[in-house]
Amino acid sequence: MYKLFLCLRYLRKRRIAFFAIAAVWLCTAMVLIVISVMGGFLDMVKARSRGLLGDLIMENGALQGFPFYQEFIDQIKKEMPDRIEEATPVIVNYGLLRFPSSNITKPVQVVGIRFEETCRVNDFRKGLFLERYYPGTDSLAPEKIPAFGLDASGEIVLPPEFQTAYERWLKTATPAEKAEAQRQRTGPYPGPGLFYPAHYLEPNRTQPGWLGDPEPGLIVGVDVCAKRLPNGEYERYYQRGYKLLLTLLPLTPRGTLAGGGTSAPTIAFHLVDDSCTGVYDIDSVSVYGDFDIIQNALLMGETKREDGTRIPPRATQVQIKVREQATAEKTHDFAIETRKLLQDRWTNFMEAHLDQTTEPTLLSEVEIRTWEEKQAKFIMAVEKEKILVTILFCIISLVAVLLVGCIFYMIVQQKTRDIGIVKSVGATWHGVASIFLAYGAAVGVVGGILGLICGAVFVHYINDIQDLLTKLNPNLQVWSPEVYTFSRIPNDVKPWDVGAIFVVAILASMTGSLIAAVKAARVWPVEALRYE
Amino acid sequence: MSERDALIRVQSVQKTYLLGRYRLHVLRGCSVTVGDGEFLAIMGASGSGKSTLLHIMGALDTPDKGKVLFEDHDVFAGSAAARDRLRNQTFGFVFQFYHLLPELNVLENVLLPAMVGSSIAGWFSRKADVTAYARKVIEQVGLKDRIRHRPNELSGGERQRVAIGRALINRPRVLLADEPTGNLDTATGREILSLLTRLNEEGQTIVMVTHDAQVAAAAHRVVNLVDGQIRTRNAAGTRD
Repeated sequence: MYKLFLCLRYLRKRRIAFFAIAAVWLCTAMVLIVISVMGGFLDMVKARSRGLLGDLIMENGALQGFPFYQEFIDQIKKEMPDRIEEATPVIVNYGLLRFPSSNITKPVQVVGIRFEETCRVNDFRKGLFLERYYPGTDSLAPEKIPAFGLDASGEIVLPPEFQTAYERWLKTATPAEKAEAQRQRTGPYPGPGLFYPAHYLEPNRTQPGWLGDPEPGLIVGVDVCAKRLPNGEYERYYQRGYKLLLTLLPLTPRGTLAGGGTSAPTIAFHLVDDSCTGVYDIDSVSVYGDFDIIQNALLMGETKREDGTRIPPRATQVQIKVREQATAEKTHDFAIETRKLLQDRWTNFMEAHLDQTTEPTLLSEVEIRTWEEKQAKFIMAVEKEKILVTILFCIISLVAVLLVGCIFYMIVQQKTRDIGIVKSVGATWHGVASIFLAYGAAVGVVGGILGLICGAVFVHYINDIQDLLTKLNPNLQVWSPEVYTFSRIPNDVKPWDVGAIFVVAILASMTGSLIAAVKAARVWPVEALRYE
Repeated sequence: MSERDALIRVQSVQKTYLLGRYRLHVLRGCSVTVGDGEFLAIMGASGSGKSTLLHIMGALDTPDKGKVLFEDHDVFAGSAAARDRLRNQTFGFVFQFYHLLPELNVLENVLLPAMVGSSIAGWFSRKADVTAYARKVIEQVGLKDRIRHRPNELSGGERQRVAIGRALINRPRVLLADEPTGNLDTATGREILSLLTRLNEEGQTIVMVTHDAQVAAAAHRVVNLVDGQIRTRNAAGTRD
């Protein structure tokens, strides 16, 4: 009982201990802030680095892709319906994107997708800007330019498909989403991206509908077609229906440029939407077109030789979504199990098809990986950064441990006589030691709680604090949305982090008090009491 | 007093301190007995080893050689924990410089040994009884009105009364007082002595160390410590 009693009494009466509490307080707050921000950053990076990847990805790393993808997709869908929810081929290649009205040409990564299948395999649909407000209207198939009309009162009327889609979205949208839509100017009023400006300016156009010749649709990475503002939002320059020219570089199955490099087809597209995965490296270079159109343009479709034999079509990836399990972890494990089964099936499948292709290495090099494995380099870099920063701050926090140690050593020096008194009335050596360990723990508890409260409050308001600092002086903006691709600083405090930091704060304080506790335990009462 | 009635028997105790390169032989085969209910005074010149003898008698220090028997049990044959228990339950110490904890008030200082002897659960189950007894002890030592005062708000005599109260809280078998009046003026010292005398009359065994013959005169029996050995006469002049 005396241990608790004296520990609490020393905590209240020894003002020098307040310095130890302050040290633990500041270090706890600092570590919580760092871990929360870095952890939040890592989570966002992880979530977004998945980008447009399925649970499993089959690819051989070659631009010319691999054949028999469709046969394999059909086989696994048929044989493993309990495991495979969807599988879709993807073509990834490179090209030049030209914005004719501005004469700007950019190098891009061209991704050929089956739109609906891709939306089932990954979160592609979630990153589409206009699709969010006009659900079901995005399509990569050839279509004319959507044009608005005016009703009798001069109000703007959308083409029926868009009007219906917008009204459908309005029914499900929250007030915040509606306000956001208005702010983004995507409502019935001609917001950016829906209408071709020329038609808006046409005074006599009263009927909404479709104009021009049908062209295939192209979804463009948001950082290709819009400018990211310092506040993290985008200023969009091009509307839906804007004409784009895409020049491709077809490859032969052997990997050489088709036609010796002289046949680079240029295809006209209409801008359909922009896509934001949140990963700048993807959004700043990617354009998404219809799989069949891109495949044919890249000469990867099925062809027949002069002798009548068939050259099978090729795709560069097959993206696979496994059946979802109860939790994300279980789904992850399920995907790993499924990968093993797929790997076995692919081996058999490949062996059966090797003699049907002139380039067997395109088949033998195919690997099946989870999306985490594919993005491991990127995720690991951020994970290591988080670990490094956490270690650095923990090293800095050792200062607090040393400070606690020094303060406790001083307290024991000052309290030598008191320790002798307590021992003279029967306190054991371990009892005396535990007074100071408990004292250290109490300093850790008080400092830890204060630090966690301050840290959590700071993290919660970290964006407001930054906004305030930026208002005072723009040079004080430490988080640049342009650089990090996230508009706001991550500000989630995880309960597990709070618990772990709290325990570590207590243990660190106890460690700091350990030497002092041992010294106190070794005080010889007769020596301590001998002199006043 | 016969050997059979002895509560404490100190047998041929030797104690040496190492002072740098020199050995200081403080106790050289010291023997003394303390009877149950006795008030024994140990006299000696400054540095004669009387405090060391008292500390060894109360298991606060250890002898190099010899034995201390309490009720025929060798105090130093047991574990350190057993000696800690003995200091807590059986002996009560009163020091020349009071040795109170400055952060605690009178009541808390008095309660300290009771807390040391209790677990948290045990303390809360007996707290009311012990506190009531502590109040009684404080009243007994004449500090009823000073119960919430801290040591720095008390006079020397009052502090020594608190120390006596603390020594009595666990109802010890023996009260070991080391120069209890040594730091007090004559009048206050006399008050403390009369308090000790009263306690002894109520049955408390007391061993008191002093260099002052007038103080020692309050005891039933006086022993002299000379050259690390007991050479004794009691207050009434009878040999030990």
